[in-house]
Amino acid sequence: MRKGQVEIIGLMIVVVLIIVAGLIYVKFLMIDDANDGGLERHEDSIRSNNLMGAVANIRVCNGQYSIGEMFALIGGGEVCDGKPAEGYLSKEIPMIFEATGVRNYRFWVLEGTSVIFDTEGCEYGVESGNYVLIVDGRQFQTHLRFCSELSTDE
Amino acid sequence: MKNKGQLHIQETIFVVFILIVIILLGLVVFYRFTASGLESEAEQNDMLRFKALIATTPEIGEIKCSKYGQEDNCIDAYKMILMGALTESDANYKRYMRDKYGFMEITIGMVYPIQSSTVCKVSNTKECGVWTIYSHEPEDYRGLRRVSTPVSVYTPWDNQYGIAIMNITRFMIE
Repeated sequence: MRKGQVEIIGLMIVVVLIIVAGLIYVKFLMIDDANDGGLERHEDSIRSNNLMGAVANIRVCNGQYSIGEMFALIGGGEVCDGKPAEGYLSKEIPMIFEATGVRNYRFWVLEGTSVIFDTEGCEYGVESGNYVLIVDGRQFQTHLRFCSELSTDE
Repeated sequence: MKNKGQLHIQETIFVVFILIVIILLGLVVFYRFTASGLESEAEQNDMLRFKALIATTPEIGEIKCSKYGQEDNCIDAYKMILMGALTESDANYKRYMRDKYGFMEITIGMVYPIQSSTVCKVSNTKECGVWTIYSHEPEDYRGLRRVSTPVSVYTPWDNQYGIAIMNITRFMIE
């Protein structure tokens, strides 16, 4: 075998090794992309939906009103413990979420396009679906967001 | 003494041998990566199925609330007590549940409006706040995996709804 041929074979081996190294790198890159928290987001999404379902069922103010009925009473006079509905909910909603271990969140309620109740909180995170409560023909869209690490508190 | 032709043949054999070794090494590395990739995928799939239990378990017919055949979005406290008792006493049902869930424990603990660590049993259905609907703990395990979700619990004796946390624990034996 001539010197030139040997060099060409050596070059081929180097090229093959570089391709193999490149493929291994791409493979690791793809694995990292697949594990970027998709499973956790899915889990949080199920949790927030379950929590919204549970919150929608409970009755507050010594069992007098459902949560939906309390939303309907927002803007009225005193309804419970000498407080208006909004004041009562501002105290009760955080208590409910804290009891379930949820700390960093935002919960807000829309009637039509106007926000009638908002705990305020983060801008980004995993959200429950649009949970609709209907009281006396009025529709309330409730939203819950579990804040992500990227969130900025308002 | 070898002539030039013999030397060339020897060189060719040597080069072919080296190339075969490189190809074999490549195959081994490829096989290892594929195998580890499959293992990781199987693990991820298993994790996904386990985590999906927080969506499916609150929906099982044995504990789900229903009124006149119409299912409601909650778990019935009485049904949980009955299910827990059934998994202990009925051999067929126990076998069915073990086939379905394996080495796991599923507990539900009330957190709102009241919180109680007293376990609910057939003999004590009301003054309690923790229900164990399924438990199969192995004698020896190497770790635990746990997922939890809030659920709505209906207490028929006072016609009220509460919020509870459903904990699903898997005992890892392998």
